[in-house]
Amino acid sequence: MEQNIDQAKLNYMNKRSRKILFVLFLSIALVMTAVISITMGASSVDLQTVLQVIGDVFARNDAITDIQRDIVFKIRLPRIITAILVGMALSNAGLLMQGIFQNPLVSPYTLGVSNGAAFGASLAIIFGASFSFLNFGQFLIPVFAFGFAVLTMLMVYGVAKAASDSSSTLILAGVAIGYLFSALVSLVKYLSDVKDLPELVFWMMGSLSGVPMAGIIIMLVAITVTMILMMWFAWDLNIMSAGEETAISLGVDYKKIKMMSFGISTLLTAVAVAFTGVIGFIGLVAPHVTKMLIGNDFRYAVPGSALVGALLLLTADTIGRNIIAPTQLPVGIVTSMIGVPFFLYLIVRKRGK
Amino acid sequence: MELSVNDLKFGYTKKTLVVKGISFSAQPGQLISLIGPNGSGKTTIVKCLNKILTPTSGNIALDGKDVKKMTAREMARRIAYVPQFTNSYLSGSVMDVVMMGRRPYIKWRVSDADVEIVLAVLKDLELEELAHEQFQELSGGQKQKILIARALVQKPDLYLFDEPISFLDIKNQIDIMELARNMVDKENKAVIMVVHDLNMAMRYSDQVILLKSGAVEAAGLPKSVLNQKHIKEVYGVDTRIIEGQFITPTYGREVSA
Repeated sequence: MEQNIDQAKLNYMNKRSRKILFVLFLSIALVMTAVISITMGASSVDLQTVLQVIGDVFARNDAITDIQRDIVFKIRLPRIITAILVGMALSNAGLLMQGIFQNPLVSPYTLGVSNGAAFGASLAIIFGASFSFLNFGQFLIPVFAFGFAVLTMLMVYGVAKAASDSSSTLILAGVAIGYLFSALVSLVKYLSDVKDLPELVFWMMGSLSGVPMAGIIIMLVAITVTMILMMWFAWDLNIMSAGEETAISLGVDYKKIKMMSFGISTLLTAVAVAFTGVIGFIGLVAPHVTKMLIGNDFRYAVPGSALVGALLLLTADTIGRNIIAPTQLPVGIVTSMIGVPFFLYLIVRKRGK
Repeated sequence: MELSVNDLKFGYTKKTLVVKGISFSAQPGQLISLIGPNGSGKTTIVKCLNKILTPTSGNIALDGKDVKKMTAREMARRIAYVPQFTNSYLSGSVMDVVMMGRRPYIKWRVSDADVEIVLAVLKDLELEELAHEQFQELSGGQKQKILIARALVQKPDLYLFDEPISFLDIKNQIDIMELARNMVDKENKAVIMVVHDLNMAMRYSDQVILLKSGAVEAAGLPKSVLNQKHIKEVYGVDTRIIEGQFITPTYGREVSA
């Protein structure tokens, strides 16, 4: 009998090691994908050139042209880093929301945040001149998108709270408020000058290019801080998924953790959307893939989902950049192409249970 | 360990109280059943004991210490709660679910001792085979036992059960009542349980508290509380007691051809 316990204990430990290995494996996969991605693009800058360009930073290499340098450092590298950061932010936001609301269909996208942000961005794009007194310069669009993303989350959470917090209300509120903002975007489009429309349409399809350095730093800080918090409170978050009563009876400060989760998921979603526009489904698909791979324990799922999100978005963007090169497909289209079938699969599976 | 509840009142609004001044105490080695019709305040009382709900007034003390002054973690080490059976969204393996019960002791890392405690409890309940199964794929009875296992690994002094047997078949009902009885008799713990089945309450409780509209109608030994007069008063139902078991009028008739 003792042997049984030892065996079961061993199994448990093995599973734990396997989870850690998975996280390591995902990290390696991400680095490799980044390396492949940096060598792919409309202009032929291959791996050797990339390495030369990077080497050139340390020891001047006259064979490298300014154009090659710019392609690597000003175009591809920032874009890859942006893909990684945005993938991480959206995925972890989704992971947190799904855990807290005990509903696998909740994500930044399904809660209408993207529509809210799109409305903010549309105001900034179409009526930008009227806001010039704010002196935000190139940050006008991100600031507006961020502000409306936060506003949307507050509205959705507010409605759900008024309806006693059930998680299906949350999705319904998200859909309703999402529609409201999408109608408002249409209104702005209708009122706008034709020459401003392309920028708005482009923004709404999501793009990982041209994010300013300051934007990358803001995202990096937001992701680092929130990941530390999520890891620190990993046990509490694990238990939150068992519902309010169980969480309280197991000694979790339910209200505090819930507020923190609201804050973190809002921040992560808002920074990601602010700089890159509407990129759907990463926040829904990536956490699920993570849970299938390494389970629900936040201690492993937090780094896991960040890596899966980064990997998925980077892959989607690399595909989008190259599939019909030199034309680039907006990444939002690629992620939706992959995400929608997966979303439907989740609904069918949930109903089937 | 002694739990004392003094003039406990609770209402969702100030005007309408659901629990209207309840007092009782619980000691180690006691199984106390809370009985009463739907809406009589049983579950509310249990949730107040556990600080899931904050009482409107009154006092709850554990060994003389007001529970309001205890931290959530401290509470969780002394009182475990098994919620009313619902098909809750709990994913992960049985091990993961039971391990949650160690949360009051775990800082971040799960120690070998935590794993051993979980496995030992599963073995005691003869559930070790299920350790690596997915919780969602278990039957209702198994799920309920796993939730009890989760309470057991908390190593508390007091267990609160909210209708642990309401949705289970007769075999699982008896298993769980025997389990509760074991915790009381062998481990000298206290159990407070919300039950609907009068016969189960009669057989397994040391004390019964019969509630009507948020107030105590009768309290004491099962046989003195659970009698025809009280049942008629509280539930409005006529019963007969045969050999200590309640019998209600039967309607079953042979169908004649």
